[in-house]
This record gives sequence, C-alpha cells and structure tokens, in this order.
Amino acid sequence: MIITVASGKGGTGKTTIATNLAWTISHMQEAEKKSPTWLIDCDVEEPNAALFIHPTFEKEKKVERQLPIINQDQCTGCGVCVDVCEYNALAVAGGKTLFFKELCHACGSCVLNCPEGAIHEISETIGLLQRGSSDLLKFAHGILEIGWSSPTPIIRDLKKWIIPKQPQVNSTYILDASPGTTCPVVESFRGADFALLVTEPTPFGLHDLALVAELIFKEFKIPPGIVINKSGRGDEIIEKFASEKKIPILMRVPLSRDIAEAYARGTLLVDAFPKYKGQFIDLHKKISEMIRERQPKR
Amino acid sequence: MHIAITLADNKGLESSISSVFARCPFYILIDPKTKIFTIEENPAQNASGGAGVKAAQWMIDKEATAVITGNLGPKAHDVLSSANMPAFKSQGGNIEETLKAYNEKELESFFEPNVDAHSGIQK
Amino acid sequence: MKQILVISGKGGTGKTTVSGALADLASREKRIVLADADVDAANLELLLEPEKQETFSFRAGKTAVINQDLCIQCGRCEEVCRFEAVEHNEDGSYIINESMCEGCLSCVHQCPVDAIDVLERNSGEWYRSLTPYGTLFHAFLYPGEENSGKLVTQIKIDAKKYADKNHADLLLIDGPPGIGCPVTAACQGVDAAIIVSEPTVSGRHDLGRVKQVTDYFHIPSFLILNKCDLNQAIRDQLINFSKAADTPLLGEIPYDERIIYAQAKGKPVTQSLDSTISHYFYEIWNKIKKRL
Repeated sequence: MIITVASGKGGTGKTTIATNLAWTISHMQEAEKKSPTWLIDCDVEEPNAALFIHPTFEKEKKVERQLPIINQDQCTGCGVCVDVCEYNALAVAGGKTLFFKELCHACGSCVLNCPEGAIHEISETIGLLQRGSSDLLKFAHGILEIGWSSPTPIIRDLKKWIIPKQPQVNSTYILDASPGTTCPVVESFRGADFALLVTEPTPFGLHDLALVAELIFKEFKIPPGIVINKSGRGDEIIEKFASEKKIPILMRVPLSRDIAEAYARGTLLVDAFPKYKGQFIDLHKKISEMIRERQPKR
Repeated sequence: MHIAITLADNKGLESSISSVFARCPFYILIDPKTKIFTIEENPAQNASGGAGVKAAQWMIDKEATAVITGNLGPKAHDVLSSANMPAFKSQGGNIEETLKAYNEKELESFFEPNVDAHSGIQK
Repeated sequence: MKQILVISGKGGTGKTTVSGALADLASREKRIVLADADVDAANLELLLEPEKQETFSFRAGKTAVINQDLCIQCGRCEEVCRFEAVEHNEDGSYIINESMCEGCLSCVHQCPVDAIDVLERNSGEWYRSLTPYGTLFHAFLYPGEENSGKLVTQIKIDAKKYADKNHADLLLIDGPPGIGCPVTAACQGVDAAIIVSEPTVSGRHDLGRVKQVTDYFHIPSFLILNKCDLNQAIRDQLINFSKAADTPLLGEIPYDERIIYAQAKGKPVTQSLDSTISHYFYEIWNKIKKRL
C-alpha cells in the first residue's frame, strides 16, 4: 500500500509521523515473511527524513532533463523557436539565438519546431536521487539542484525509481510530501492508496488542513485520515472540521516540550518514548482497514 | 528612428515614466527629434516568467534604436547587449525632459545589470 | 523605503509568528506595507484580521485541450508530450490530463490537423486588504495549481507600487518555505532577508540551503533563532554559523507554549503576550530599526 503523508502547513509534524510510522511498520514485520517497507522523502527542496533515519545510501541516480543547444552556424535567426517557447527562454538578438536555461521547462518544443534543425538537446542534471536503508527500513529521497525551479520532475522520477508498476503484495510505501498544496504535493499523492493528513490544533493547522482536504476530495478518490500533532488545547477546532468532512482522527501526539527536544536532536519519537510504538502500530492497522474498505469517506 | 521608453501609464506625451523594464504596462516608441510617437501595451507584463527576455525581444523586433528605463535585469541586459541596442538609465522627470537629456547625451548607459544592487541594509 | 523578506527554509520554525510580531511592532512607529508571499499556504492573514478591498484574478500559464471532433487519433501529441499529460484511452481516443499539462503547447504545434485548443488557466486570486497594521497584499492559489512564483512576483509588484505611492517606510514580506521558485521570486529586489531558524537537526540542515539561495542573489541575511533553548549543542552550532557565514544574529526566542496559544488567538503574539516573553520580539525589532 502507498500512504502519502501531507499537511499543507509546514512544521506540523509530517516528517515526524511519516518517519515514525515507517520505522514502526518495518520492525513489525520482523517476525513475518519479509515484504519491504519504504520511506520515500518527497520534500526534495528540504529533504529532512534522513536526519532521523540515518540511512546508509547504496545507490544514486541523477535526474536529468533534455535542454536545447543551438547550433549558431545552422541558425538563420528566423525566430520560430522564440515564438513557440511559452517560457520566454529564447531570444534572437544581433544575429544570435540566446538561450536562458533557468527559464527552460525542457518541453522540447523549440527542437521540434526549428525549420533548420539547428537545435539539438543535451542532458542537464536538475536533481539527485538516493536510495539505501537503515536497519529494516528502506529509504529513498530526492534532492533538488539549487537554481532549477521545479521540484515536480524530481518527485516523479523518485517515485518511478522506487515504486514498481505492480508493487509487491504487502509491501508498504510511505511518502513524506512537501508542505503546501500545489503541484509537487499533487505529484506525491498520485497513485497513493491513502492520504494521511497531519495537522496541529491551531487556526493555521486548520486552515491548511482544509486546503489539503479539498485537494484530496477534488483530485483523488482515496480515503483520508487525520493525525493531530502537538495535540491538547485547541483540538476542538480540528474535531469540528473532521466531523463536518467525515474524516476520522486516527491518532494524537500531545504538545510536549520533551517531544520537541527529542525532535530537535534528531531522535525518533518511538525511540525516545517507546510507548508510542503501540500507537503507530494501531495507526497502521486503521489505515490498512480503511484502504481495504476502499471508500473515500465524505 | 525611434527610441523605446518604459511608461507607467498612457497619457500621451504626459505619461509618467516607469522604472520597471519588463512589467510596466506601456511602452512609448518616439522619434527623439520629431517627437512623433506611438504608445503600445507591453506584451510581456503578464508573462509567467522571462518577462525581461520577452520585453527585450519585442523592442528589438520593433527596431528601436535605443531603450530608456529605470532598471534592467540581467537577462534583458544580455538580450539588448547582444543586439547592440543602447540602453540608458532614466533620471526621473517627464518624457520631454528625458528626451532632452537623451539628445544631449546626459543619460548614463547601462554597463551592468543594476537590479542586483540592492540599496542595502547595514550589517 | 526598505524591503525586508522573512524566510526559513524549513517550514514551521516560526516565520509567520515573527512576521506577525514585526508587523505589529513596526506599524506602531513606521508606515508599513505587508505582503504574504507564502501563496501556497497563506497564513499571515490569520493574524492580521484583513478586510478585503480589492480582489484580482490570477491567470498563469495555459493548458491544452484536444478537440475530439477534429482529432484523428494519430497519437503525435502523446509522442511529443514530455510531461505524461496525454492519456490514451481504451476506445482509442486521446485526452489531456489538465493537472499534468504544463502548458508548453508543444502538442498544439505538432498536431497535424490543428485539433488542440489552448486555454488560459485560472489559477487563483490575490487581494489588497486593510489591516490594523498596514495594507496587506496576499493571495490564494487554488490547490493543485502551479506557477506560484509568478503569483509571488505579482503580489510583490503590487505591494511595492503601493508602498512607493504611499511613502511607506517599510515593506515587510512573509516569505514562502523551501528554496524553490517561489522563494527566488520572493528574494528579487529585497534589501535584506531575515532567516528564522530553530536549533533542531532539520533547522540546521535547512538553514544552510536557504542561505545558499540568499547568497546566490547577493542579499544581506540575518538570523533569528526561535525555540532557542530546545537544544544547546545545535544552538551553539547555529550561532557559530551566523558568525562564520556573515549572517548576524538579530535575536533569540525561547520555546514557550504561551507563544503557541497567543498565536491561536488570531492576532500577532505581541498583542497578547506579557512582557516576560514579548520583550524578545521587541529586542529584535529594535535591532532591525537601528539598521534601517
């Protein structure tokens, strides 16, 4: 099963929940017939999960895109490429055709449309994927090259690299999405079986939870569930929303300085406070049941 | 022979000059001697990205002989300098004053893109 | 008129908490304009009680749509699409998935029978609002949309225009998290960046990455350490970083649950916190004031 963990708001505890859930599941299966548990960190702008999991990386893969290169001798300065480029990455000036890599979306349109065949393509690295493992947990993440604007292609490639078209039965993939609700988050949800929404009991948590929930209902027909992190005073606003939208609250982690300190030094919650292991096992069970029922609860 | 100047509005020769190159709403193309002019909407103002490139390309295609604006980003600068298009920094004032300064060669040329230079906060 | 951008790299370090507090304190002494450049998850408005005065429609990019009456099902569009946006159905028809389409229009140009239409995407809205602290420019990007960099640019252009016209002293911009396109858009033309970080392994990791972005654009950067007493060792490392990387420390704020509860009231925390905590914010504002 593929579970995407998202929140809208940054800093609510997405990575905390994703890492601890993945860690707990991978150790749960020790006694059973082994099927892989993967944690995939899709927050390619600021991948943090590795700081808590300490994986040993075994393989790397560059994320490359084809960018145009213009043969100035063959170029007649006709400007067709300038006209077709939707991103203004090309200009014809002083008998030369200029190319601005940072604006390019690697769509290939200029190459196809050049009447002289003067544009070829060259591979450029826009990101890096790494995979490995930590103890029983398999891990992968992607890193966006600074200067390249879009995280989405890196996330796409990361998922393709790790998740097979027909995933093994009983294998589990937990995707830690980036904050927000735009394209990269949509890409992290694509193909998932469950949306685990992490929130905090504040107006900010609620505001962003509502945005992500809307995204799920609009674009994906997968069951959602809520985890309230930093729970305690203020839970009512989340409970009210959850009840209105018929999204179950599956777990709560209390607001606690001790937990914050464990997080600060990079210790997994279930290592610092083993009593939470049971809660993550329960969470996993509930999610599995909801996926089996296969109905988005509205 | 006409030069391009970035405008903040369209009030004919009374228009205000804009310091923004790529996303100002209008451009005037004006003959600095005869003052014959046209004002056109800037096609780059709503570009998702690369507005500077698009605006510079437009001026080249319109065969402007020079550009006067407040700030020029690095990409726009590259395009204009590749085309050997002279570009000058406006000094404020209105169109008439700017043309006078241009004709008397008082305007500073853009050597380097100047939008990197932030007015700064002391450390 | 100075422009100050508040960013964090990592989300959740307290960027908006700090922006809200600075908006409150700065507005007591100066004329300020505010912009919430975190268009993806706009939270600053939850602290400032904005009254919308004007709403603008945001259209960014285009999307392609196949006209099924003209389509000859040759599949050329699927061949050329680099974004896997063209789906081939069992009945042989082709359809473009709007959420995958990046609007490059390559398929439009390549279609041999001109069967693909181009539509503008309606991606969100932005607003000019009144708040007790100054005019606020903020936005709402529809979930699932892209191009937030352009929306950030739009808000900043409007905010700057307004600030110039009204002789504001300061334009304070609450920035987006991360290091991508929206952050680089937010960085354009600002006089200083204030990075809000926290002494955690994630905060330390992301501080390095976001500093690379501000360095790339030659923007003077400053540091605020929030939740500063969560971990002494990492706090020390961050303070050393601040010295080594020429990112002067403006101040530190301790981990205090009262700040979380104050924020939940829907006002800048400096409006309700007592002086035992609010003084941390006052000290930060004083340091900023001196440098303006």
